[in-house]
Amino acid sequence: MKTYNLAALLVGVPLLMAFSIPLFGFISKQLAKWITVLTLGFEFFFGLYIFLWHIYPFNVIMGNWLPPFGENLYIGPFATVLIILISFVGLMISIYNLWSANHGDVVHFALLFLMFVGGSIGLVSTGDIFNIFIFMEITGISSFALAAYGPERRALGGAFKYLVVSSIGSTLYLFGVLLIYTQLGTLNIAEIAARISQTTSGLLTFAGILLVAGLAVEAELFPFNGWVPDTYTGAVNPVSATLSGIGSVGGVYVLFRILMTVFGKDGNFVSTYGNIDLMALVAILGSATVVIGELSALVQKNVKKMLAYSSMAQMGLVAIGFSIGSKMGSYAGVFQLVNHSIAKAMMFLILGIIVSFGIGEHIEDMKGLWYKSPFLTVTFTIGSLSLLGLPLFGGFWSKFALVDASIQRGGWYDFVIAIVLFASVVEAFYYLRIVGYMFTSKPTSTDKIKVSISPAVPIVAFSILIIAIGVFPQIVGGISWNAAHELTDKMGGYVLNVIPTIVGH
Amino acid sequence: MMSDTPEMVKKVFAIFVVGILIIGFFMVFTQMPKGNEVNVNNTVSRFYVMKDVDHATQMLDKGTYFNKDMVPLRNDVPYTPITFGKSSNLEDGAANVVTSIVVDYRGFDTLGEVTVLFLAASGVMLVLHGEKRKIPKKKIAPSEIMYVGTRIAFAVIFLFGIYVFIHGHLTPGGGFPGGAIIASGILGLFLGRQGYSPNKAGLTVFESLSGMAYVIIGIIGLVGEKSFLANFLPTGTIGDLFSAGFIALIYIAIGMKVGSELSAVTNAMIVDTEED
Repeated sequence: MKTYNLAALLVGVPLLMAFSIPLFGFISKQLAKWITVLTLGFEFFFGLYIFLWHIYPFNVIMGNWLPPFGENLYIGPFATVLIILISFVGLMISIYNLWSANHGDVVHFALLFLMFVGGSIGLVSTGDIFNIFIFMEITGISSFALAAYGPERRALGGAFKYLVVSSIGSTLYLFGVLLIYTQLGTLNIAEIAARISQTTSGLLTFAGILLVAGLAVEAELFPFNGWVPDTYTGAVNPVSATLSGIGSVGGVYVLFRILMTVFGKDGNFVSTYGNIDLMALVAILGSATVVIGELSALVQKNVKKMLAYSSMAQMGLVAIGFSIGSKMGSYAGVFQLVNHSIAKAMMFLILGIIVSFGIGEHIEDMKGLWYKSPFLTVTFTIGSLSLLGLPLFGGFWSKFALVDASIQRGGWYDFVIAIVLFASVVEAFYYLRIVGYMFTSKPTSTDKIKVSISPAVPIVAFSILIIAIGVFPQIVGGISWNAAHELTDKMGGYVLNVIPTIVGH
Repeated sequence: MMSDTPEMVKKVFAIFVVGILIIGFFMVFTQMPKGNEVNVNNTVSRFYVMKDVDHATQMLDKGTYFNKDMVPLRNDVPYTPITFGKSSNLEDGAANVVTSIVVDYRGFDTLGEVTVLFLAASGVMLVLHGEKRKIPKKKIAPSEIMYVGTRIAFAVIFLFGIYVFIHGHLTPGGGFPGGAIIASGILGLFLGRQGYSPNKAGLTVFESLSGMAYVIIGIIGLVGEKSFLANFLPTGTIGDLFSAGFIALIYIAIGMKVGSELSAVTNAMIVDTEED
């Protein structure tokens, strides 16, 4: 067991800075926003250090109590790639916030934003099933308040809907954890994973359904995603970008950590213990999410709502990828998660700039954007092309891997190929419709949009990254493959790295 | 799109989903083993019976403790009785076992819980920011008895709150109840005085510093004991005020934090409703 306790700072530093932000807020509101930028910069470079110097996989022991007695963080390849992703997206949005967050109580906004990102980093790195609940509460409560932030009344409605659904979801998750705890008497993921077959299978099934229902709320799976359109549309654009680019990442991570590592039964294709195969259940939910999300996005005339439904559909694709259960499928899932997170966050940020110049969110309002701002048009096009999966953009490789994995699995999963291709066609239609409006139509007014430096930096960085991943997929591909290995080989990839002497039975 | 669905369909769907959940819930009971058939090997973590993490860790390293036919309730496990006021240098040293689990063994969870409360308070302030706030005028002014009574009670309540969180490792209670007690004293002042308003900046400073203190205690553990939130103080004799290492320090931080936070939330939520 490799330990590297210094990495506790990944969670400790955001907490320390979040507690200190009200003090900095006394000096200046701008300083509070800069603190989030600096802290997330630290997180990002720490994540890069773990990745580039290949320190992962390792454990972080809390309070000198070895797992399974105390709590630990386990940072394997999957956690590493997600830490880098979350802190990068968070850093970019915090730079954007320097320009955009001016309304209301900026100090508390900066604090909640920082803690949302910090909580998500904790969520993907913890090795304790109850600690996951704590981090779900941290991300949940901060996101309710973030979603309600902004000058518009509709934000409150969306936030309230999200609050109700998400609270019920995390309560269901807690019930599931409780049922497992009554059977095994431990909360450590590695020990539960090794001893999961000792439980009663009926109870395990019920606990599994509760866990899936609770986590599907964050992972935006049908039928638990009714909050998505209203919340994303109501929140200010950087917050929508945060929820879409960071919040859903944490949800998907926990869902498949529970299904594949804790409940997983090793084999060619991972399935779960219990009376029903939860992986198949999630595959069905994911397919339904894709179809419903894409068709709903197709009929939307409001671009922000369209992005919200599209985000839902993309998370369905991610869930399908993981639920195939093979190494290739998990690889496709991780890769798709990275692509979606970057592209969708960027598009929400672009929409934020457009809206701030008094242009509406309606699809007709996008007409002639090329004549007003070539920069925003080109970057929006890059994001669209990546999401619909054109070659030379990031999204191509993940959709390709998804189809490849479905072909390898065969059988029932042949439908998945049809769903992915159908989704791509529908996505192509509604994204290219907007892009077409942007380039071809003449604008009604010719006021130029001047984008200042602080919102331009994240958009440039995101679009460069999308093209870089499209041209050199091995940037993300290598570590995604390691992450897929960690998920599909539960004893070798996870359990034995945490408790080396444990024997699974 | 969802709003176009007829009301009836929604209800039938909801009843269907709830029905599945209820069936699932009761299915579990049919498969529950009977009380006398429960195998302790399965339902309890084997290490639980050791009552001593250090000892169990040594066994864990040898790898013998995950054998399938291992019997957890063994006679050869050394067990020394612990006497109040005499036993010293124990593994954790807290007389209150709940506290020792909450703050020492699972201190990281508690740090998270403190953050949750902090975020909830910040969220309330973010959402309520900009609402027109007037310090409400009570229709009936508080009587002299109320005025004097709350002031005297405040001092007693405040001291009691401090007592509760300082003795968290010895008696039932701790930082969260202690802080809530202090905040209830502040609430008394709101009730007993016309137009009372606490020093908002002071509360913010208190809240931030005590939260930072918790993380800094964790970082001291990381520097001194090579592990975040590790106990860096001697555990002392069980039952003494100065025992159980850093638990008392953490509970002081939590108590101050919860007290100032709940007071700040109470303050933020008092908005004039203009009933007349």
